[in-house]
Order: sequence, then structure tokens, then C-alpha cells
Amino acid sequence: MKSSKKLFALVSLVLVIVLALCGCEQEEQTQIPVNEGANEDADKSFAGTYEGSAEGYSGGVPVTVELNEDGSIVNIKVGDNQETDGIGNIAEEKITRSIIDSQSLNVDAVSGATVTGDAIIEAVANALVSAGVGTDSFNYVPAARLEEAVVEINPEAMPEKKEITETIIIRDAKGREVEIGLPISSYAISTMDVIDYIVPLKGEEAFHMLVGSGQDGGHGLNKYAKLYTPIVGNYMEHVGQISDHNAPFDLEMILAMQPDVLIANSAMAAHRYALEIEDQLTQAGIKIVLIDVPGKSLKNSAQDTMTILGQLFQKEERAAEVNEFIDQQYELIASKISKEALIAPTVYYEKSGYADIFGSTATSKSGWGLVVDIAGGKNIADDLLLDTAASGGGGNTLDPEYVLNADPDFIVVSGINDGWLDSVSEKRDCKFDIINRNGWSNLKAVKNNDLYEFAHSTSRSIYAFYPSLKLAAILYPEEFEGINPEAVLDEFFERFTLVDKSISTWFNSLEMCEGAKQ
Amino acid sequence: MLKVNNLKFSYGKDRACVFDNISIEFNKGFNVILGPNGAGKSTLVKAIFGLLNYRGTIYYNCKNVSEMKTCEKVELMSYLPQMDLDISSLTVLEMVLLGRLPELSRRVSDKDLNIVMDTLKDLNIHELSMKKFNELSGGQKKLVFIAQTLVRNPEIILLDEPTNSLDLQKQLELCQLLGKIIKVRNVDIIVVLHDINLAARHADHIVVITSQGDYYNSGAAKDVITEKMLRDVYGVIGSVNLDDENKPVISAKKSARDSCDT
Amino acid sequence: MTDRAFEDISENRALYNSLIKKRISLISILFAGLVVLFLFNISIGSSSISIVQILRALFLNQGEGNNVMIVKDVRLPMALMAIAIGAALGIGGCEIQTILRNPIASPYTLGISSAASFGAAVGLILNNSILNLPEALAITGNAFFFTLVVSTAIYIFSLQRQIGKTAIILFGIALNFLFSSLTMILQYIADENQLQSLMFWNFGSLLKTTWTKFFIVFAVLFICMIILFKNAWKLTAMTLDDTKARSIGVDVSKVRRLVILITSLISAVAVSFVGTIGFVGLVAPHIARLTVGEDQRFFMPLSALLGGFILSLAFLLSKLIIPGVILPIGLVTSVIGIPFFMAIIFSKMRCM
Repeated sequence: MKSSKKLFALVSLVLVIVLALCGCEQEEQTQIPVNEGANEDADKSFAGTYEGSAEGYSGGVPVTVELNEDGSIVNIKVGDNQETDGIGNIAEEKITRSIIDSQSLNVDAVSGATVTGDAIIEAVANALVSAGVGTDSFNYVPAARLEEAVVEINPEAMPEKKEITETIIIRDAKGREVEIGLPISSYAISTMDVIDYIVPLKGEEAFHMLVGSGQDGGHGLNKYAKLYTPIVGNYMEHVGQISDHNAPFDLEMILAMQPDVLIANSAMAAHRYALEIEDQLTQAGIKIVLIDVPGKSLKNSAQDTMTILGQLFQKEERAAEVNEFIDQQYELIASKISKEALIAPTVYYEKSGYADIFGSTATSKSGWGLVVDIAGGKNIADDLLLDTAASGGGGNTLDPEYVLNADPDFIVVSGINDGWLDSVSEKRDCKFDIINRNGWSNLKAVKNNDLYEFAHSTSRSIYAFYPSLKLAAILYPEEFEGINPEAVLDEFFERFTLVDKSISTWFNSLEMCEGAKQ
Repeated sequence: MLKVNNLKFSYGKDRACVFDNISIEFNKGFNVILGPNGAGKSTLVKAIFGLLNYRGTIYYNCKNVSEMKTCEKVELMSYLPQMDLDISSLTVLEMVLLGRLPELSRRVSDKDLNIVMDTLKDLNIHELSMKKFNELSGGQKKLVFIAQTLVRNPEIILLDEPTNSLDLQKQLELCQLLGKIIKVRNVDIIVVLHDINLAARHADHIVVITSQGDYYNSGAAKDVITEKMLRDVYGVIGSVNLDDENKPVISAKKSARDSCDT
Repeated sequence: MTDRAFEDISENRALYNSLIKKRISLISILFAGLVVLFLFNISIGSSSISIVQILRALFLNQGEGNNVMIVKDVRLPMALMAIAIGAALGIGGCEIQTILRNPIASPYTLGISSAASFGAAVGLILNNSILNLPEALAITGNAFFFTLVVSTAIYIFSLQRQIGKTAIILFGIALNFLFSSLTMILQYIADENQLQSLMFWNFGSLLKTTWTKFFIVFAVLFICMIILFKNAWKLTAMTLDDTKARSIGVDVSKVRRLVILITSLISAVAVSFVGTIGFVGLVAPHIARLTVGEDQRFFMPLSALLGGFILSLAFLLSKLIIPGVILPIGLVTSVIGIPFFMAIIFSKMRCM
């Protein structure tokens, strides 16, 4: 009987856990209460206090908004809530002050308390709605919450199936020949950044046709949703999350969303997971097209991808246009640094390095090393690592002594401060802790402020020409006089995308980073 | 009945021999092996049961036991090793059923069930049959194991120090039980014992081994248990008297080694 | 006289029946629970399909869009796979604990999981298929290959005379360390995407299940179960001391070898298809032992059932915790498993 008691204890333990988990889930699903009954009468005085609330990091955040007669915000009081003390309190003060000062709900969130900040903004918006003022005059953009990236799929919103008029055979990045019926009506992608290649071809329709995407390490699904929902509408209501970061695909979700094509990037593990389910997808009439960015050659991979996608989306001319633009940039770089008289400056690259954390470097054959190579830098890792297994894309950490000894002219880093699309989520202080490493203060590059950072994932994006051009201009200032990489980037955005380059932090330098050096 | 001829055994090639050409003969009934620590009493029993690779031959009624297959040996003999009391969450019924292993089918037959329950009744522990083995006392566990060796209906039962960790009453009861089993079930028993008086009282035939693993003497209790034997084999000075049932009783006085005197 | 004998028989039989009746009813209840979980598992998924639609897809083969395929080729094999893998790990744990007489042993004690993980790393990081399989099967193939290497190594090791259970555990631990360090070497030269993939592989996931994979696992499981079930009493005797087991006529080293071969095979298959799912192999046999004891005729099936039950439950939770996203199942089993494990430790402490 003793054993049955034990069993009972075990079973009840499980039940408690299960209930706890279910409890969390229910909390997450709780709908944000929106105060209804807005006062439609515009002539009426709005003076008074109104209450609103929204879900924060842990539970509801209630606010009381005091309005004057013409509906301007006079005061905001944040009620009792469970948000983290300290950072949460700072967020409350900062946000409420900047809302009152600017009479706008489009204010930056406070670093480290994005969720709390968004909750306050949303609560104020709710209060304004209940006051009858509405949120139109306050530039209110609903925040895309991280946990809300996966919204309920609305079957009505799914793209309509178009009639197939022709079939073509596409040779994808892995040399597979894929037969596809055109025009395609919907597609899914392995990670959201792939859509950057499709937007130049299809514009807003790229989002309307999208029915599924995998998540990436930087919460791409959420960031793109936050960025593009105001522009193209709530496309997330017909996009299913088809995989987790670098995880196998959720076959069921793909089948349910029924894209015509699944476009997977071979550079990540996605292609492997895609091929694992190829049989089932084929059976359901879903084709897999593999693309490869940055691939073996950074100079061509974006263009190769555009060519494949141009065929797929029947926009070959447009693809050629994009390719021409990118080709021009690489040709420009090559033409400027091909002079034999030039002595290549030495460059050291490190990923996510801090004073105590030695990040991995890359040789000229992989990742950011490719960018350094195109920009005409002499990579100090090449001598040591080029012929080892690590050069094949593997990260490798150089002996810190070797770096000190090589005393590179330039240091390039990535993955330390803001990255791709980070400027749309939250701003952090820039900091280059790496220079506090032993002996680094004596390095030429640090002394001369020649330490630069690029947003990490841009090297594998369609915008990879920018860091190449930018770095080349830094390494060879004289040769690149009169060339403005930012203007080139601006032009690209203007010609081919729906947004402008302010969507992301692209570049950072020791010089720009005030207070980084003491 | 059981005859050991020129048995030679050592644990490992380079190790000293435990037995070097020892020959022993056992009789019908209650056999006891006596000897000091390290004489190789347990090893001898293990060898007889076939758990060791030895040289020499063992005969049982003209059958060569050494050449028997394991299954035949298991049918002929039951062996209860000397051991720490096992921890097991089996019930007593299952534990004793295991004794019928070679014939046991997954659906327990009525025959097996009856044999087990009858044996448990014989040993007067059938009340415990549904209890978990873990929950039994030391003496009860011993009885369960003896039941386990009995249910196979063997011709010989080998017991290695079964009276270990039992109190005086239990020791006597166990020996009486063994005597009863010999009569009722018509089996022969070879028991390793430490207690010379217990052996003298119950044994039909006693075999004495010296600390070097040599055969010393064998026979009826009063022939074997002598003051000379105590000195030669155990290194003890003591007296041997006969009690009212004509059984020898020893009373050891002191160690024969000088070290105690000086 | 005959009357009395007859009475005796029925009396003994009744006693015996009272012993096994409880166990059989427990197994039946658990089986029913498993069926319920199975039904939940095929009705809940990342896409929302109504019960009516599911029934139509299952029995009438009709449905909108890809619903039939989703129900029949995605959910059904995954739900069955959860049971089969859970059962495989449960049995593996039950038998390894039995033959090594060690309550904290699990199939992974023998180094199976680290070998599988190394195989996966070879596929993911070196892009190498040991068995020359197509890319989609390379990782599973490699994992399977290396688990077989480990199984063979342990089998050969156990073939030697005088090898006791402690030596086998130590050898398993040594293999564990060997393959973990080999994996670490590969991790050193891997880039972050590969690392992430390897980590994900190690979490364990049922998403890659196909009918073929399920049938392979099922076939191996079925055959191994039959062999083990045939040896049920011998295995029960293995719970006793080695000498004791031998005295009852069990060839201890032979049984131990057989079981090592079978459990490593069974766990190799499970691990290479779904990744390393921890705790099931440890926890399932424990609960089984607490409830039905060590009689293998009940202990083994109950371990299998409990394994299937735990994994099905974990799979269900993995789909529910974040709607629309399937968490790695290994993650969920660990989360459920850890409190279990602690409870076991505490209850053991009380006994001691």
C-alpha cells in the first residue's frame, strides 16, 4: 500500500505540472480587454479620466489617462501591476512622459522593457478608445508582440489559387530540377529573410502570397510582422509558422497551408529538413526549391538566387534588374582595388567577441571572411586557418596572442551590438567591450578607432553588397573618394523595396560609439 | 553417494591452489562440512554445484556430475549460496515460483502453483505468500530461499552457511527442519556450518577440511569431533564431552597459538 | 480425497489470481489511458482540424485540402511513433536496470545516446554519410551506425568471462565520455547553424516521423519484446544476486549478453529516429516497479506502456504549450522527468 501512496504522489506531481503549464497557456491566450462603448460625439468635451489596460510581461497593466477638453493627454497614471521592478518602473516613467510630451503613441520603447512599454502604450490606446478620442491622431501602431507572432490563421485570408497556365523546370541552387506549374499562387519560406529576395520581384504581393515561414534565431517572424504589417496589412493571418529556429519543419503546418512551393535556404540546415519531407510534400503537390545564400561565392549567390526566384515568380526581367544593380556594386569594388600598387591592409574579424569571450573568426572562404576578402582586406586568419578543416565554414578562435602579434590595421566585428532589423525592436546602448581585452588598447586598430561592426546577418542577405562596399571604402578611403555606400543602399531600397534603409542598424564603429573608449 | 575425486582448483592461473587433489566422500542424509575460515568450504560447495572450473571428477551414484550439462545439474541439485540478504520487490510466491524456473511457463500451471504452496505450507510460511520479500525478517527470508531450493524436488541440496545471522532458536529450528526434510522428501543435504556443536547435534556425517584446503577426516560426529581435531584444524585447545544423547559437545578454552600467553 | 485436492487447487489458484488481477487491471487502465492520449494526439496539431473532419479523413478518406494527408500521414504515424518510441525506451530502461541491477541505469548508461549524437554530428557538421545514404537519411543512418558500434563494443566486452555488472556500467560510462568528447571535437569546428541543428537533434523530435520509420521501429520493438517475453522468468531471476540466479539454473552471463544486445538495438533504433529523449527510460521502469514489482511478465509490459504513456503525454504537451508551435519533445520529457526523478530520489532516501 506504501507503493500506491508513492504512485499517487507521483501522479499528482505530474498533474500539478500539467495544470501549471495549461495555466500559463491560458494566460497567454487571454484576450486583451478593449473597452467598448466609444463616445462617437465629436463635439463633446473629452475632459475627464479614462481607464484602459493591456497585457504586460506578467499580468495586466492598468492605466488611468487624464484628458483635457480637446482630447489631449494631460496625465497618465500607471496602476498596480506585476511588471518587474526597476526596469519596469523606469519604463513606466519614461514612456508616460514621452507620450505626454509628444502627444503621440509612436514612442520608442525603453531598452530591456519592450513588453512593458508596449503594454503601457496599448493600455493608453485602449483608454483613448474608451474616451471616444480614438487613436488616429496619436500615430498608434499596435505592437507586434513576440508571443503573438503566431496569430490565428484566418482561412478567408488565404491567397486564392490561380489557374496554372504553364509549367517550367527550374534548376535550383543544389542542381535539382524541379517542375513547377505557373503562375504560383502561394509559397512558404524557410526563414523570413528570404522574403527580401521576393519583395523586389513582387512588391506587396510577396506578402499576400506568403503562407508559411520558419522562425529564425532573431525572431524574424515577429520583426518582419512588426515592420511590414502597417505597410501591407495583416499578412500574418495567412502565414503559419512552419518551423522553429534551425529545427525540422512542421510537416502538418506546411500541408495545412498548402503553399505551391517551399523555398528553403541551403546555407542553413533548412534544406536538409526540407529534403527529409520531400516525399510527403511531393505527394501533396508542394515543390521544394533550394536557394543558397551566401553560398560559396558571396559575389554571385544573391544574383543566382534572384535568377531562380525570377523564374519562379515569372519576373525574370525584374530579377535581371536587381542582379545588374548588385553586379555593378561588386564590379565597382573590384575596379577600385585591383590596382597592383595597393598594399592590402590587414584585417581581423571576430564574431560576438567580448573582453572575456573570445568569439570565432572566419577565413576568406566563409561568412564575414568573404566580405573582408571582397573588400580587399588581408585576413590575418588566412595564414593559420585557410588549410584546416575550420576554413570550410567552421568558426575558429584564434590565439589572442596571435592577434596581438599580428596587430591588424582594421578590426571588423559582428553580432555584438544591434543586428539585422534590431532598430525596429529596441535600441540598446552600443558598447565594444572587446577593446578592454588584455593588450588591445595598444593595437593599431583600436588606437586609430579602426574597429567597425556590421549587422551580422546582412552578410547572407540580399543587401550583402552594402557591407562589402562599405568595408572597401573604409579600407581604401582614397580609392573610394566620392562614393557613398549609404547612397547606394538608399537607391537599392528605393528601387526595389517597400521600406527604406532605416529599418535596420547596418553599421557601427568605435568612433560612433560614444563612451565605448575610456 | 556423492564422491569428490582429486579435485584441484585455484582462482586464476597465478593464484595458489585452494584445493590440491582433495578427495571426499559424502554419505546419505545430513552431511556437514566443517573447517576454519578460508579452508574452502564454500568453494567446495560451489565446485560441486558446477559454478567453478575445476580439475578432477565428482560422481553421484556412479553418474559423473562433472560432465553433466547445467540443466541436468540443476535438476539433480539445488544450491543455496551464502549471501547478504537480497533486496527484491518480488512477492514470496513469485520468489519461490522462480525455483521452478526450468519448467516454468508464462502462464503459471496448477502443478507449479501447488508444489509451491505445499512447500510453503511444509515450512509453515504460507501465510507470507502474498508479502513482498523486502518486508520479511532475516529468518523468514532464509526460509523462503530454502523453499525455493526445495520446490525443484532435487536429490541433493547444497546449503552454504544457512544459519548465518539467525538467532539460537532459529538455528535449531532450521536444522530440525532440514532433518525433517531429509526424511519426508528423501533428499540428501550437504551443509556448510560454522557452529561445531550445531553440526555435532544434527549431522549424520561430518567432513572436516583444514585451513590449507586438505581433507582431514570424516565420519560420525563422535568419531570426528575430537580434542586433537580442534587443535590440528582450528588451532584451539578445548575439551570434548559427550552429552546425555551421546553427542559430542565442545568447549573451547584458548587458542593454541603462544601469542596469547606472552 | 479427490474433492479435497480439487479444493486445494482452486484455493491456490484463487490466491495467485488475486495477486495478478490487480496488476492486470492496472495494465488495462493504463492501456485505456494510452488510447485516450493517442486519440488526443491525432486530434490536436498545429493546424486546427475539427473532430468531424478528422473522423471523415480517418474513416472515409475525405477531407478539405490536405486534411486527409495531415491526419493519415502526419498525425497518425507521429502519435503511433510516440507510443512506440516511449515503449522502446521504457523496455530498454526496464531491462538494463534489471540486468545491471542498478535502479539509475537507463539505455543511455551504455553510451547509446552519446554515440547517436556523435553520428548525428558527423552528418550535420562534416556532411558525411557513413553508410552512403542520401542526404535526407544521412543523419539517421550515421546515428544508427554509431549506436550499433557502441552496442557491438559492449556486447564484445560482455562476452569476456568474469565480466560483472559494474564493469559493464564502467565500460558504458567510458564509451559515453569517448563519444561526448568526439562530438565536442566536431562542435569545435562547427559553425553556429550546425551547432543549433545538432542541439535541436539532441532535443529529440517526432516531426520527422514517416510510416516507414514507424514500421521499422515497431518491427524491432515487436521482435525484441517477444524475445524478452519468452525469457520473462529468467529475467525475473536476474533481479536476484548473480550467484543466486545461477543457482536457480540461469546462465547469468548469457542472459545478460542477450539483453544487452536487445536493449541496445531497441534504443539504437529509437534514438536514431527521434533523437535523444531522456528520462523516459529511467522513469517508466521505476514507476512500473513501484506498482507491479519485478515480475517481468508484468514489469516489462507495464514499463513499455508507461513509456508510451509518458511520451504521448509529453508529445501532447509539446503541441499545447505554445499553440501553433511544436516544441522539441525531448525538452518536454525532461521538464516532466526532472520532478519525477527527484520524487524517486526522495522516496528512495526514505527507504534507506
